[in-house]
Amino acid sequence: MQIMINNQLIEVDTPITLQQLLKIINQPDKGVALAVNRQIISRNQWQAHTLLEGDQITLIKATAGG
Amino acid sequence: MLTIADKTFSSRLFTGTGKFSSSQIMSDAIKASGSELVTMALKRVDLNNDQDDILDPLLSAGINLLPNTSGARNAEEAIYAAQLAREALQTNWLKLEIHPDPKYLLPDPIETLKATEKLSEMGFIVMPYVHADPVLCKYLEEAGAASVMPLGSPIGSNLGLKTKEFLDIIIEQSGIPVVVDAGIGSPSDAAKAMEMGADAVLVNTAIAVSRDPVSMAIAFKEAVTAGRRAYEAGLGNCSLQAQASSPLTAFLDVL
Repeated sequence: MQIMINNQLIEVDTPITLQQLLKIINQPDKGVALAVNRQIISRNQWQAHTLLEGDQITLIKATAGG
Repeated sequence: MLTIADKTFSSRLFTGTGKFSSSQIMSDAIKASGSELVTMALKRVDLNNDQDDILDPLLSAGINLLPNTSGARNAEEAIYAAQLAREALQTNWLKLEIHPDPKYLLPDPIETLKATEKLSEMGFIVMPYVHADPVLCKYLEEAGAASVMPLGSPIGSNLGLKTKEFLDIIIEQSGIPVVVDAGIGSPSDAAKAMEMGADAVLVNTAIAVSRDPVSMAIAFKEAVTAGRRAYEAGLGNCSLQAQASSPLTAFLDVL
């Protein structure tokens, strides 16, 4: 199925959880936050949260700033 | 010692992490500054290219992180950014900044007040970045802000304390710590703010864009310490007329 991460379309095998997605896209699970369709999913739910076709995922991390 | 919410700080210099030429220099400068609270921003992860890990060196140095909501144009966006920041950095501390206008980056007082009320209810330790408006600062205090962060001049402008007289009023009236933020361009600006009785200052650009950020960080550290010490010691009054500090030359009369 297709999902969007930070406005980039990617193809993933189903079923897939948020935790698995982070691994597939080679991102650390520390220092990041995730939202699915603008709904923030807290860290302790990443393992249980299954993604659906067309989900829009926002992945953010800390960066330099004042 | 400075206390904000549940934390005490032995350094009254807070720093930012933006604009440094490398994360090594950033981390060296922040350590040299003695700062115990540093701001960070949030960004969307670039899936193709993202290697700038600035978090680990700061965390391993035991420095507290203060995520900001830079980029938020209204209360709703700021609240969303705050929740993402809390998730990402596992802290409920927040520098609330809402500036819809990219040219001057001046904070929106109405949206900032709305967001402060909401975020305080949600358990955030809110440090709102605002104009040096004494009335607004009292409203923010009532709304649950942990401190106020009035500006000296626009972000990154290095113009210094253009709002000095209003900062004086804010400091006089505030029941919560006052952190002078934005526009502090030189150690003397920082010392001045501290002499006026500010509880802390936040400095980023002036350190980061200096030719030698580590040295400049030390200069700011010393200025903040000197300014605070002078405030605690009590500055003398100003007067236009001279007030003799020597007994003049009265002894000459007898010659």
